[in-house]
Amino acid sequence: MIKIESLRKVFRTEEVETIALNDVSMEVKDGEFVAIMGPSGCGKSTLLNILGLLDNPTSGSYWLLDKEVGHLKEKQRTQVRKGNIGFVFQSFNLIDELNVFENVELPLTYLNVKASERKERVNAILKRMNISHRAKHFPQQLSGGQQQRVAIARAVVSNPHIILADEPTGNLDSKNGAEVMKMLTELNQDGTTIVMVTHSKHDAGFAKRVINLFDGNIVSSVTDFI
Amino acid sequence: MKTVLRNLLCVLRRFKIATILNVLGLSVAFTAFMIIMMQVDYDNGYNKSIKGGDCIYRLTLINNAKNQGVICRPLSEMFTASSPHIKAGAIESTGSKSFFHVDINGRRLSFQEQFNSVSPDYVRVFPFVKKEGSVSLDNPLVVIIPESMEHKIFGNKSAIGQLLLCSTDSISYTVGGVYKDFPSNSSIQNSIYGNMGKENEGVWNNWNYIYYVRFDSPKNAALVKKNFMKDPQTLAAFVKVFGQEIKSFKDAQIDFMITPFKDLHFQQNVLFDKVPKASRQTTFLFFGIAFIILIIAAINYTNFSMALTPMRIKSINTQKVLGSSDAALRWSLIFEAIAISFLSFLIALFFMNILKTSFVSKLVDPGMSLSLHPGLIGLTALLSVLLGLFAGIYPSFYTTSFPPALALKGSFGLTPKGRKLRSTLIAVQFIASFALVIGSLIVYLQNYYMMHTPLGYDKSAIIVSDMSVKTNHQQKAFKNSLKSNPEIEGVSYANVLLSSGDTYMNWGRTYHDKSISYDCLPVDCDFLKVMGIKVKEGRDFRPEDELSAHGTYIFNENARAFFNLKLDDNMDGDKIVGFVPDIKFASLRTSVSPMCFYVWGKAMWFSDQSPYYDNVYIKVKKNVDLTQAMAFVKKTFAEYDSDYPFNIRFYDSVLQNTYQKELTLNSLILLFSCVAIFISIVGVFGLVVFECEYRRKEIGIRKVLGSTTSDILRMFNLIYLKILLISFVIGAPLAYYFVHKWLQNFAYKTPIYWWIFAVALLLITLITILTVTYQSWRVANENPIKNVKMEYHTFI
Repeated sequence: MIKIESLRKVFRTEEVETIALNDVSMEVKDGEFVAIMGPSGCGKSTLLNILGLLDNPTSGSYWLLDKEVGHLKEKQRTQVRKGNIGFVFQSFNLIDELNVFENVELPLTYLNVKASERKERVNAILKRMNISHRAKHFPQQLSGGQQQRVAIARAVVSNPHIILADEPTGNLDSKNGAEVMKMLTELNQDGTTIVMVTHSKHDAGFAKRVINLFDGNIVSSVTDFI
Repeated sequence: MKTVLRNLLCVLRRFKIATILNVLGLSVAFTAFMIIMMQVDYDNGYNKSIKGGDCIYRLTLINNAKNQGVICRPLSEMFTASSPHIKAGAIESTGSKSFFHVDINGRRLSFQEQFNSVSPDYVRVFPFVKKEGSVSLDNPLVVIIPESMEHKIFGNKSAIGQLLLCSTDSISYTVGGVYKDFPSNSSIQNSIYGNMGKENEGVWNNWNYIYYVRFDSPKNAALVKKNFMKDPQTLAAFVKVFGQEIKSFKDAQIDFMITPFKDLHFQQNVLFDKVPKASRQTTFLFFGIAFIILIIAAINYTNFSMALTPMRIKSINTQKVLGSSDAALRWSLIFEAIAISFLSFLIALFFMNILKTSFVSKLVDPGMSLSLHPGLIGLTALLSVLLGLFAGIYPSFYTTSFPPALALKGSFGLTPKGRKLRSTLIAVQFIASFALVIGSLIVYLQNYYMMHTPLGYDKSAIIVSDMSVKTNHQQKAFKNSLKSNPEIEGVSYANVLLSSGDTYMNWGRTYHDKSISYDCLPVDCDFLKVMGIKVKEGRDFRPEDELSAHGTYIFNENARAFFNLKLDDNMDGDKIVGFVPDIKFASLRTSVSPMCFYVWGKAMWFSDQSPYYDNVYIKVKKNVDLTQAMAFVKKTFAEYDSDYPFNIRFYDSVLQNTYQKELTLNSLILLFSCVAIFISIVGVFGLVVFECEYRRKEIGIRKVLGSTTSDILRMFNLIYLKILLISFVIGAPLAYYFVHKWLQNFAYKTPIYWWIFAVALLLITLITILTVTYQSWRVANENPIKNVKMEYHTFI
């Protein structure tokens, strides 16, 4: 599914050069649930950005679904991202001006899916996330847990191959957090590949494999983390 | 307060372009407002600043429903003597520019100045204020001149006692008095006034005089007129002159109208009226445009203030948490709005100062000197304060209405309610823009129509000029000299310039026992040939007609049909020899009326000299270099009279002059349409800046989810295009109503083409799309990772 080799990411400003990722290589197999852990500033988010085709590496290669995508232009990255990768963010990142239905529908709109099919798929996913009774509500009217469920619904509505989750329970209480992790686990059991960045050992426990990053390097990759 | 101001400065620094544009928009609006109101003030104040002006009236005669602005001298004297309530009455001949020589320090200088021949009591009707000498017209050889003319001709020297030699009548006049100039917006000209002596005393047949009367009180005006008409002596005088068929004024459809002096500027439909005119409709239109522009700018400014609000909420509510009262915060926000608005007004004053020496000042009658309009400056300053107050009130209340804890928690996006209000305000701006663009196009098309509509004669390659006394004394030789050049096809003399105005000399005659009246254009025998006017029936003028005893007529079709004229009939000995098609000899504001071309016979009814012609028409052959031809004509004029400042020009400039008011109106409306569109687009630009800023994160999320740059641009453009279309649906019918009404001022009007509306829609749509796309392009193109919040953004 995902393969990166000797990935480097260097951030340059006028005064300083920072190596965020230093020759990182890893693979994520189809259907895997991988957690990436590490202290603040170790490069987790940078790695996730590159995996999500939101940024390009400085050097190295990145294969996604057997295609080299490491050095695509922004337009091409958008095309590849659409329908293949779903995102779940710590701060949900729902659009305040759109209601729940419209937020979840958005990825399908960009895939030019017909209106009738969009309606069917959105309703189905909202039902699955137990949030269909709030379809006409706006994000400001929902609790944190509900907002994250909507975000997850949006991430999966286009049936992506991969879901990238950045601290998905970071802004939630333990009850809602547990619910979100349960959902991600269920999605993984259904076959969706999940790569999750987290600080929480508890959350990492849901993953099949944990990759530890430190100062831009992978220091370990542990399977069936306890 | 300090923190609030500091926060405002931070926000203003952050949105420099949008801020500058909005302040600029407001300044431009204040500038446009002041310019327009100067014209409105000028027109509305016309004749109103004359001391005692409310007691001054003009008497005109209404005959068969036509109001004619000139009467005869005996009638004026009869009316003046009719009542003790009349303090003074005076007549004024329809004046013209005369050519003068003045000897100053041994040098002979020449001037062409307006000379008004009036009756002596003119200075008792109007409040001439003496600057020096004696403001009296009792002596026919002593004239009075205005102070500005004294300065122009004599510099710092006194004009009293100086001699003005008039080359038109070879009379030497002495300057007996200098009077202070009347305001430019009054119908009393600042010209040379001279006593007309015994001209046409007792002559009932010469109706060429404008008559003014001063009453002791305006309350008596109507009564005096009524009593005058009831007086049997008045009717008797008319019967004596016009015949027994006048049994009563009512039966003869004769009436008198006395019009207050202050209303003359707006009085329409008076024949032979020389008072400069303004249309109340046009004044109202300008007034409306001035306020529309101000409203558009106010809307911009309000939108701008409201768009700033979410960015300021956090800091403002921090103040609340720290102990500031709502009232104090609101007042400080309102004060900011007033300060910015007032600053824009000051910038507007600076713009006015620059523009007063530019082409813009030529478009307004009063010029643009600020010192002449202190009241207007004060009014605009006050409006700027009020505008700031109203623009600031809603945002100040809105901004301070949130519970502090809630406000401190997170950022505030664009609320649906605020969005709706801003959209409504933008819609109002677009409606105004549509109305103005459509109005401009119609005015332009009407002007084009008037300038290019076939007039029934050939005005191409014609040079015209006024004539002097010297050239008139050598008419034949002068004509032959001009015709000696093979490039010149024909030369003709006439007393008028065709299509130069709406009123011409009007004659009344008896034809088959019926009284008829028609416009009369005296010409020489070559006129119709030179102007390419074909005779439809009968014959053209011949050289023999100028030698016959009586005059010769060629009437237009309108006269023939109206009066049932017959070829070869006589009127007072003058013969009708032909008929021509209805040419448009007056402006297109009026429809064709009965008129004639007339060649004087040898026995002119008031003189035995050769006819005096005021104008010469010179037809240049086709394919000839017009510049060369013009040079030859000027040289020939100089050979016959090197002193006289002839006004030699191509005929097109005559039409230009006739429609000057409409052309000026076109320029003004076009100018202010551009201003209104500019201000509206500035508003859109500013709002797009803010929208992009607020929706940066949303744009990032959309891009993460698969939106392209084009999708984002389309999204932004659609917001404004929707508003635009709704505005068009409202604005287009409004515009149609107003232009349709305006076109009723013209007898001949351009059609209102459907494509005018399409052009307006396309133009404003294009400008809007360009503005929105330009501003949102950068944000739409940004890497979404910059705007979407991931957990750590250390390196971004």
